Amino acid sequence: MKVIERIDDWCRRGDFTVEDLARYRIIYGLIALVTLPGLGGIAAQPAAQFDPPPGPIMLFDSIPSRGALEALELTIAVLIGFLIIGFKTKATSLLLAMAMMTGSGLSYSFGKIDHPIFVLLVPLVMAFSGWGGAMSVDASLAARSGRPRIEASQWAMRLLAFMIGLAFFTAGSAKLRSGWLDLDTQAVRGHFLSGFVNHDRHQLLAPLMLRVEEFGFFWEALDWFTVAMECGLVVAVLWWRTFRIGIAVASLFHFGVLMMMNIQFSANVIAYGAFVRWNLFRPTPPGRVLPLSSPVAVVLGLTLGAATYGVHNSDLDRFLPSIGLEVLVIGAVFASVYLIAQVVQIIKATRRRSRTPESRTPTAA
Amino acid sequence: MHWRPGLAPRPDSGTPGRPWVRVCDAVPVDVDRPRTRTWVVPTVFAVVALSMPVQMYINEHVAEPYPGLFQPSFSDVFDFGSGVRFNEIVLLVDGQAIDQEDLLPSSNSPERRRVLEALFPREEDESPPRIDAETRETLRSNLADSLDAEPHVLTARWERWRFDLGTRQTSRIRTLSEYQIDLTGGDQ
Repeated sequence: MKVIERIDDWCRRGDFTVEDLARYRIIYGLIALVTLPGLGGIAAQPAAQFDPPPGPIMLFDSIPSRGALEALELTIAVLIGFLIIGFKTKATSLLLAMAMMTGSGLSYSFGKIDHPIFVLLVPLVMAFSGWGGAMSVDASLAARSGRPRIEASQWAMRLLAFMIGLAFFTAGSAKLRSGWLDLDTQAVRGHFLSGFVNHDRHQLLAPLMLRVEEFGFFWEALDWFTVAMECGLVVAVLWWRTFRIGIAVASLFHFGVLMMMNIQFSANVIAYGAFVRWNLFRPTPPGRVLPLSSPVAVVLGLTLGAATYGVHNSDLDRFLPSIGLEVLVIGAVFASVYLIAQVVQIIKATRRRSRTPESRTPTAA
Repeated sequence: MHWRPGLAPRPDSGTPGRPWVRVCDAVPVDVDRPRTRTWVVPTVFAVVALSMPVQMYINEHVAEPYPGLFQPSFSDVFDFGSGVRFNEIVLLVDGQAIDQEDLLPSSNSPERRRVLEALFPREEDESPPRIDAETRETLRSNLADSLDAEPHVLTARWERWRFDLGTRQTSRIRTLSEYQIDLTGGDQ
């Protein structure tokens, strides 16, 4: 087998079913609806501070008008509505990714770039995964027109995993270069103290961490763990099992950052959800569809999007849950269960292996 | 290919299945494999991988690109020793302390701080504050909306503080700079 064929084979290897991906599509869409970013406020920023980062946002020479920003927000809401019901899923996913990146890019045009990039990569890459192939209007329309059922495209999942690994590597390599592994400095301690003092991050385990701030070994271990995790994830992508272990560890890492440093970075955990075999929890028969006609699907998507936009931009938004904490906790629970299951499997396999030679040994007569 | 009600009980039970659930018995096919050549997917992976050095070069020599495959680097290694020094900005409108959110309501916390640092340099000998007429009007409008009253003078003062790790006490060291902005249109 040629090298290129082996790489192609590796890219396409995976155990995702279209039902797994479809369930995640709905989960992702619902979370996106609840956390719809407000864009109209960008217009209230000082115009002199508008300085887009290198990239396509540089095409904007000034802050767009409030009306244009609100139209963009409404568009995002409607596209999320289409995504949830799985209508024109591939085009919807790509347009959603572009619209979300435009909105985020504009809000990052005042000097500070946040890094929830994984949740924006999800629709961009999973547009090619077949996540609209079940529990969707698309599946219904395809069946009615006699087209074959779409199955999960494993390479898109591998690509998403690869991108996550690469992005983590940029952070890990920056830490390596700046001396995080130097035994004389404890970088995590420095960031913890900076957050505690500068940003009043005094909640959860932060006071306890302050009590152990002089335990250099503890902080140095955290430095090494962080660098190893961030640099190692791109290697873990080689096998699905190691990658899932890697993102489980990363989920616990994000939970630990919340507990210690009070930084709520839940966006990554939402993206890790793409790699969960959701259909294993309550298996459904293949081929579930949402049998709506195209006009009904358009009306439903528009209504869902417009209603969401209306809620977010009215007094009703106080009833919307802030789900960052919940996502991190649920992610940590899933990760713990998965890691425990892996450890149990390894122990069982080791025992089995250690028993096998004994059973083969002929018993003394 | 044919369709039948999905998740329905046995046909002879007489109970209807869920009307929106149907099961398709069509043969599953890989979504791309029959249509794409062997080199296409590896090429996509190669392009993504090769874009990383380019992104990292732009990040180091220009600024962080967006969108880009980056995670927060937190690459700074602080050596605080026995105390943490930090700068704090105090904002006053007509002598009354206000929150940073009142002035820049639509930004998140780090973004707000960066804008404040750009508008009001921490050290007075740095470049003077960039408050043009448009920015002044934006600030006035934001404050009027937040405070529900017409603001006149905005005072911004940077202070240097120290947190002692031994005593856990915070103490002010000195004032770094102070600016007064006449929001009605006068001089700074």
